Amino acid sequence: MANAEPELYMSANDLVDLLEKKDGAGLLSAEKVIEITGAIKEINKKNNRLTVILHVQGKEHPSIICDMMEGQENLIKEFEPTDTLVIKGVFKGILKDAIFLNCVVSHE
Amino acid sequence: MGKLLPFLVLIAFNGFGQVATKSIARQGHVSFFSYTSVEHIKAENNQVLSIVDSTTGEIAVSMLMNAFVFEKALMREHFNESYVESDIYPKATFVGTIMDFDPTLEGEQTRMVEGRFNMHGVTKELQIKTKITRNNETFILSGTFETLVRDYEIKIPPLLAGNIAKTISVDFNFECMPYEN
Repeated sequence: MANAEPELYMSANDLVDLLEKKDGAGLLSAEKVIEITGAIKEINKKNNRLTVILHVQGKEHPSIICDMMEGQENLIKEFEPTDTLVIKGVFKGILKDAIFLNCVVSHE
Repeated sequence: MGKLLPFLVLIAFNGFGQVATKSIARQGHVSFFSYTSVEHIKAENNQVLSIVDSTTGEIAVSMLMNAFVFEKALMREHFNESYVESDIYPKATFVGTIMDFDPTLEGEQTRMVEGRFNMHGVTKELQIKTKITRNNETFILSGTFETLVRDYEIKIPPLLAGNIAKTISVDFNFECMPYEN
């Protein structure tokens, strides 16, 4: 994933705006590698996984759930909620939130 | 999902005609195991959505099939492309009721959850023994059940039949926090 070239570069807000449009979700097919820029809402280790949740400005929900790849702890520990982070990962789809797996910090 | 979505919306907007107390898990955990003499297969999904209405005991669960993580990439590929066909059936859902649920009870209670599980386009009635632990405002639902691969019309090629168990063991754990719109 570290060397994967994203197919799309988007802000967290634009991503959610697109997903909420009637036909928007169709434009974002699952398995696309996307680079997202957004403010951190939460960092947690639920299920023994390092997860970063990106906040969408002006909305409590939906958020963007990023399941981080192993080896990202040292990069993530420098960040706190409200910090801006650029993450790339594989888009899996949307439930109540957009879900990304295999995420890595793209740049700070 | 077409049938689940209105239910989720109903829960979210107190549509049951009473003051509902909703809890949500956005990072619920579901794993399944297949044990055979040839191969052991385990997969985990850590982004399972679950909403519980503690007033009515109703529960809705939704998960993306392509968000299961496997030890080997080839297992994941076979699972998504050949078995569950996640491009055609991207989600699995469960809609049910926790029987005799007492949301005021602190600590543990074990209850049966009855409902309909839909996967791979097939819906089956399930009864699942579930441990529910209340810790202040958080409900943790956990349990294990077994299910037959053939019940969901999942076709295993004869060549790989020995690699996949006929009965799959499923574990789940949902830590549901208070949910406000």
